[in-house]
Amino acid sequence: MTADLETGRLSALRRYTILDTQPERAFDDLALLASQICGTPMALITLVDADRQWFKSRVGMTAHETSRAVSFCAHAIHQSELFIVPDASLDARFRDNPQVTGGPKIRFYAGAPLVTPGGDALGTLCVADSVPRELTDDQKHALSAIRRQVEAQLELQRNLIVLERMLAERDHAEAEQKRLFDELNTAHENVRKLSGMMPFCSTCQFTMTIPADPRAIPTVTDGVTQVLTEKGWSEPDVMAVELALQEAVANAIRHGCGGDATKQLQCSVNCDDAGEVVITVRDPGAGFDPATIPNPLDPDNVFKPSGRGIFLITGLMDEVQYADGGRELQMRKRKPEAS
Amino acid sequence: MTLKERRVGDVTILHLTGRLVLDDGHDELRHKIDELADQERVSLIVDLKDVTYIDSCGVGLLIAKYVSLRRKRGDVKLLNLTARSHHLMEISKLLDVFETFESEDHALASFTREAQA
Repeated sequence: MTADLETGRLSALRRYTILDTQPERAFDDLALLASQICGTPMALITLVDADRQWFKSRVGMTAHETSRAVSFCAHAIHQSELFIVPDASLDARFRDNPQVTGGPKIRFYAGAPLVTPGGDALGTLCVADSVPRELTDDQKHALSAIRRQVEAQLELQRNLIVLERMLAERDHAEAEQKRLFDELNTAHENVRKLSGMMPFCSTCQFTMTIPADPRAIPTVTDGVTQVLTEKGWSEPDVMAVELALQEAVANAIRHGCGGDATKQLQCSVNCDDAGEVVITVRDPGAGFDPATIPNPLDPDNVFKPSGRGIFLITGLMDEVQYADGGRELQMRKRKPEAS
Repeated sequence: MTLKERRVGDVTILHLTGRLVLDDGHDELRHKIDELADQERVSLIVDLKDVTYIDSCGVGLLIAKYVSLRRKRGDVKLLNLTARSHHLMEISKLLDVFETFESEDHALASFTREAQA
């Protein structure tokens, strides 16, 4: 056998991942059958590795493996059919073999190569005896038949391994598909929020239109909160901007849109790296004169249930301006220097 | 927002969880306090420990119900304000209006003292 063929044969053997595995009933039954049909005290299913032969199944042998140098099977795998040695003590190739001169004192050997569909002989199904003998034609046919069963079992095991790998790959692919689907959903959800645009804007400047529905307020406030947090704003300052924005959007919904959820309002945010956030909220309403809004701290107003929104916005932000007759509110806040 | 009601003697304790803002928790709390007022249960402690967010609408509701229960000789007292809620009440100058407590026992005791006065 050339080095290339031997390399290919060993590669094929590795693909079956059978070396050094636990004994299996399916193989043990076939070895036992071979032993009983051939009337030999020893039967083996061997796999010939680079420098050893390893026994997947063994009848009448205690060793798990032997050196390839003393292996009968290493000869048998080069044959296309049964390899028979009637009396090893008379055969020049084996008479000095330690398995012949010492335990288990092999005299008779018959091995059938286990060949893959690709033509690689991985090992043998073999029977052996400590006395010289021959096999009848029926025994030879039976041994060949059992050999085919061993080969079929090897293919079955390999197909199971391939199937398991394919199932694992399928599970992995399904998990990956689910992960991507979840990511896509999250991305889709984020795009609905201003923060989803963060990775795409170096200075975070964006505008979004939302329905005049209080349930839409977090769509804006959550995004701005995340942007400011990402830019290193302190929690109290983030809370201040978040609350001012909540109040501004709530006012635009209640007063600018009259609570009509079919109307829309526009919110723009500009957050630069210098540490300033400028927020503009615009509604489609009739507008108002901020100067007419009563001071909620006046004793006459302090117990009133409303009228605190603009007061809070003014107190929480550094600068607040109205434009377009009160339809547009612009507010800005600078990130305080870290102390 | 979720709301849990508990009674200790004549005092009702409302434990709020979540957001108390426009369209979230606002109507539920108003209805609950109106219902209590109809039953003459006018001594109220509002536990804000688990209120994560409160805006001027939430504050406005609390002040409105404070006024209505005071008219019925009751009171609304606030328990366990978070830093966020405390800040909002402070800049709204409402800490001068509401009695606030960090201990439920103290809040309950304040009602007892008033009853004895």
